[in-house]
Amino acid sequence: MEQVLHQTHPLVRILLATALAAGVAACGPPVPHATPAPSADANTAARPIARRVVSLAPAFTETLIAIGAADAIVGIGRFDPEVPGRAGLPRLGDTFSVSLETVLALEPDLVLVASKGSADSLRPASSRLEVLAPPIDHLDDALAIVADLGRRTGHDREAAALAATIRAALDAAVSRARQRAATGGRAPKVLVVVQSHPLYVAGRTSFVAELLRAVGAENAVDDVEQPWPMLSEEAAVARAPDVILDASEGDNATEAGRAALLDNWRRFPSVPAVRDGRVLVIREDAIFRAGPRIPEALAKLESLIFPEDHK
Amino acid sequence: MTAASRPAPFSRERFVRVLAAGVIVALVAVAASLAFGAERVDAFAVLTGGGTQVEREILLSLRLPRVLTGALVGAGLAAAGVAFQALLRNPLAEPYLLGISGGGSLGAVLSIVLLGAGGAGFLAVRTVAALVGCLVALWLVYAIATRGGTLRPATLLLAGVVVNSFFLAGLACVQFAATPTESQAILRWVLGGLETGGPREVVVLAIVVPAGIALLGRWSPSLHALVFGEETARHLGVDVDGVRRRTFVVASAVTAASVAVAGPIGFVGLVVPHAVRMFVGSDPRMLLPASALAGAAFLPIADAAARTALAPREMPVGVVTAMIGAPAFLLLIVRRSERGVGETVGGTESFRG
Repeated sequence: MEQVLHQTHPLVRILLATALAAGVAACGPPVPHATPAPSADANTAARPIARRVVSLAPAFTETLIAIGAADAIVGIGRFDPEVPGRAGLPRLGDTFSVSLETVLALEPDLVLVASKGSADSLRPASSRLEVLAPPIDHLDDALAIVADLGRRTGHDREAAALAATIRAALDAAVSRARQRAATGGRAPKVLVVVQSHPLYVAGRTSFVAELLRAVGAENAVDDVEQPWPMLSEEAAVARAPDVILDASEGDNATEAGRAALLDNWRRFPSVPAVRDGRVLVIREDAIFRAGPRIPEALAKLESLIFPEDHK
Repeated sequence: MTAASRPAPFSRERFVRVLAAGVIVALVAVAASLAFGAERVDAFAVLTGGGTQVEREILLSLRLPRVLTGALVGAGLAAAGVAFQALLRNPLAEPYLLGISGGGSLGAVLSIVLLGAGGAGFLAVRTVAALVGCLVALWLVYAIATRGGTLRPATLLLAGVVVNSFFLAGLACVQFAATPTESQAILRWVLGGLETGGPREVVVLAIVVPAGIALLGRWSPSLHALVFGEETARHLGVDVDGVRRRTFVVASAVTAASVAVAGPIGFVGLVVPHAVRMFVGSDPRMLLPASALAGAAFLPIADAAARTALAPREMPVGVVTAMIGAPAFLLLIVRRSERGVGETVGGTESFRG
């Protein structure tokens, strides 16, 4: 679950980093403007196959493993999953702190990072390193990354198969959603919480909101354009969600924390999710990660939101 | 500032009048804060036993504890500001600017990381940890500013800024070393906010803050004597060292309780006493209770703005107080430099027992 945060709360972490930076280094030099990383669908036909890859975000690492390119990984991020059969791989940092020297020492021919900030910190070695910071926030991003990493690591066929699996799972979920709608089922209103104090929730442009749309549920905060807005608790109550998926970081890791989260919602018996016992404290990183586990994420969301279909 | 330079002398009748006015302002502000929020709620109907169930839940379970938390934190920070300003003989002294809030934040964060005290049940542990942080920060700043035997106001503020930076760097270190889960919790201690104010927090604050303000109020005649310098205060029979020690500890405890619940909310201890000073003068006997009441009005109103400006989204109330406080601080510095450095609080006032 620890990895989730690096995918779930980019806004929060950026906010924290900014606040700290403002306090600690208010007089520091201006941050150089980020150079746009090559897009994921760039023409890579003439590029040699990457044989030493440093992957500093869980979604990239999971994708490399899923397309059979685990052998090419020479370094991973601090919060990435273990690479099967590659115990002892060096862990090199995360989105906000990465050591250029450590990365260079591994002599990678491809470095994958999740933020433009990390890409900037590797810029001094741009003549020796190829650094990619492709967007990783949406379903389309996940499919583009699968295809691109397949080409770059010489695993095109496995990548195509994975992309097909993801698309098929999406199509199947959409089709089931249409069936439910056709049989008169109302789209349930779902509130996805990623932090309780203050309350951070999934907004319209979050990855999990895309998944909700795919399975035929309504995101309770679809009117807020941001991916992870800080929402007024009053608004959360007034929106009367039918289901609350509470993935509040930290609190959901212990039994006492989970009980405290449920108690927090019990204060509002007027909310349908509370009244009907549909406040679900979850620890599902797949639903927050635009990576190869999209089929798993869709299945999980459907089982949580439409339990009657999964009896 | 003519009112501040020629204040009416302290008298019991004036004290009662000012306090009554303060209570009315605080009550009106609390009532107004209850009436406004992200959602439209008929507060009057709910408070008179009516309203829908949703309205009752929003007003009684969410808005009321939050407004009360804001009132208590605002009162505490404003009173602590008055105490620090009188004690350090510097009108720019304030828990946040002196690094005391930063020390408290780091204490709270360390208790979360080392003891896992992030949950509501650990509020007492967090308060004690915040108090230790506040006292360490205060000791550092004070020790630096009094090297050589005398308290130098300019050094005091510089030391506060540097100590604050040091604690922020400490927070950054902990954040980088922490797991993502812990760094989520740490975020609260950088920005500050009142959204954690529940019934339990209100109870803790309702004990610590009024008790602290009452003690500070009781010592305010000695604080007033200190305004004229240590020697004068000693001649007037004030136990200078004792009062200083006690006031430091109690003002820090009030700050610590506020920080343990709401994180570091800046500038309340600066803006509120200065605004109040324009009306009641600089005598801590009058200024301290009046500022506490004005703080109890100011923070709930600032939080109501933070709750409603971007609704249904929210912003931390510390953003609002900094937007008001930082320009006010700059204005004070400009005025001060025009009048000459080294001026002390209430230097033109006469002392009457």
